[in-house]
Amino acid sequence: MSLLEVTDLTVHFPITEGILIERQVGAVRAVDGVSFSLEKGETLGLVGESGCGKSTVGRSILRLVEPTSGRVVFDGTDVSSLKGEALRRERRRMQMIFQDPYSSLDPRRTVEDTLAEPLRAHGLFPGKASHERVRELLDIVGLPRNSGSRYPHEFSGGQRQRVGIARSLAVQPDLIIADEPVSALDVSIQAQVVNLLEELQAEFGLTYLVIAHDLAVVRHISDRVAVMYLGRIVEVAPSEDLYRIPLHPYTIALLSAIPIPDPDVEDRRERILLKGDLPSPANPPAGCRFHTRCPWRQPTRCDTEDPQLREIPVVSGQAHTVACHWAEQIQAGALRPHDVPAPPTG
Amino acid sequence: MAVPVRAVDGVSFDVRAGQTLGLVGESGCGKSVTSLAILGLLPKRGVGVSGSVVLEGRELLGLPQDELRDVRGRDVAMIFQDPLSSLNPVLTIGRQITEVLERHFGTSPRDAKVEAARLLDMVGIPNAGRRLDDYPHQFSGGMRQRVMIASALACKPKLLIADEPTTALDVTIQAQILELLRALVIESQSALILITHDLGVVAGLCENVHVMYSGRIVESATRRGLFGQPRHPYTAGLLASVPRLDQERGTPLRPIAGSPRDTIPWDDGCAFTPRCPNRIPSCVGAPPALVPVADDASTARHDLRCVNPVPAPVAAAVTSRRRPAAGVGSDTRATRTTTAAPRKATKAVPTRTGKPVVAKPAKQAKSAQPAPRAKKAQP
Repeated sequence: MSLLEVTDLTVHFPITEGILIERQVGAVRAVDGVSFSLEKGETLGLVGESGCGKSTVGRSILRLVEPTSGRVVFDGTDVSSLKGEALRRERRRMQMIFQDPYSSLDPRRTVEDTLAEPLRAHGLFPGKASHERVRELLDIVGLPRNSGSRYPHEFSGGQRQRVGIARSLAVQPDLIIADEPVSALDVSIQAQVVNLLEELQAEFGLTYLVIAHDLAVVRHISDRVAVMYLGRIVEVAPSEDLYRIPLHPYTIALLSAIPIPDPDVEDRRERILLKGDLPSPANPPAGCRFHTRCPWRQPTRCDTEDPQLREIPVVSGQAHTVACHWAEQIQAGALRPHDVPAPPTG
Repeated sequence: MAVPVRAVDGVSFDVRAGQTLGLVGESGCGKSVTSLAILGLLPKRGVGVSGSVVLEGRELLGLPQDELRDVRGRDVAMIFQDPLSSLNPVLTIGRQITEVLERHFGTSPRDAKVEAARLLDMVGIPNAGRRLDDYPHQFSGGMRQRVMIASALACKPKLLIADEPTTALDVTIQAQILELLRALVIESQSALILITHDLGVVAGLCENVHVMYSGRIVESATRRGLFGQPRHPYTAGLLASVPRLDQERGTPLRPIAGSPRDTIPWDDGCAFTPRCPNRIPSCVGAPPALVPVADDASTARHDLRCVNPVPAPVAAAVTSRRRPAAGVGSDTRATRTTTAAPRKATKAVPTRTGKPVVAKPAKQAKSAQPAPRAKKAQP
């Protein structure tokens, strides 16, 4: 059984009008029918550009954002129907690492206060034991054992992110949702934190959901990668062959847009430039949501029929799950990318 | 009184028309301060800038404000990282572009408007004519960056400085903007200085690359020289610490130990010493000079500021590693400034020497108070 099973998760944020009498005039479909599962000890990467709903997925699993519909089953328990104390208890096993180590730590509390609070809240390591636990946690994340009495401002960005990681580990969780864990850090520091996350996973058997926009980092750390576009997952692929054989047009475009620090590779690459911006999630395009910008768009089906995620066998490797009507033809090279006019914006 | 912080220390480079130069480094390395110094945008008070910035034979450092204002926007234009905070929110974008034209060329408002529409169209904004009366908030991030580029290009500047132009943008939008910059440089023959922390962006766009660390250029080479044979431990470390999409998965990342903050007082030799895996006793003391690499296999220029560099992949086996003494090579550098500076060259050399490093041509810059994004002085 999977550790985490997300089925048809939907999060709509209402758009309201009127001052005294508010009425709903629409909804931002931040997440619109997302399903995936996560095995114990596995790392799933969730990538996509800003506004695609990837952070909302992470938050709604923890119920930090109330899902509009859908089911989230964690280790056999339906989290989406839990309330009050039961939900609070379940959350001990699911922890979050936030993006910004500057704003996610309370500047007026010492590191020890920050790390001991979750222990108190869940009644773990009572009394004197909590002090020892804090020292142990600091040691685990590679900070000096005695730095508990210091305040966040005394640490650099990378060290603060280590404090954030220690906080998520404090209550011995099974699942950690890391929302852009390294993107606020300097390049030379990112690798330190990525390596730390990998070591911790090996040591404590953690399961990760890593949410990030940097596909190179996500691929490095994840076993499988799910690519999101406008509230939907468009492709799930094993990390090994995501770069080699991407199948969904958006995945192909996304991969080709990522610069690689090697001039020889850069000069040889075929770059697929997408025109225009992400359409508004309040009014997503009909049919396939990517069809307005898709360089592989076909005259039929794309703008009328909503493609479902389906398994596509891959020549040498595990099957990908892809939501595109033409994935087989694209894989076979029967369809070539063509120019698309920029969609109207504004 | 705060201890003076050297945000930029002895930086020299030149860039020619139609050429793209990359300035790479992490936050606090002085890359943005360098660009602000070129444009004379650093605060007058408490900041000491010295050295020389020559644009087509004309010295920009020390120009009176009114003359400098004529240069800015007309001869040198800048694209900033965050288009939302660098565009004026209460002016229409049309106004922000026509203003440049009217100010520098005395274009009539009517003609300026036509030209503004043409520029917006050129940078790929759909329905450009109708969008002139829109305000910045009505555009998406990528579109706003295009507006910024349009206004920077309005006067066909000879030099364009782009400070992290795509950092705030998504990758697919970043690819659009980089493609646009690439095309514009070829078409308009402007010189482009691209400031970024992203090695991938540099690999695709810049002919020459300078890597900065703690206010100094530590390595400079052609992009092929730099990525093919990184010699400074910092450059090599950066390349080894970023995961690459085209690599075999499972290649371990080798991070650089410590963080840039560890090196605040770095008068004592090379600033990278505390984090450097290659450090040897002579790293401490006099800062090493930026000298040509002795054993680079290619003929292209490759300068390095390190006494114990990473061995070159092939050459290391053949040539014994040469350890250049501090100061050697200053004369080569001087020749370079003269030879490599034909009519259209732009040289920028804001700098400062703490302890004199033998005869360096021109330049020194010191800021007595922490300059923007520069490191704080130690309490």
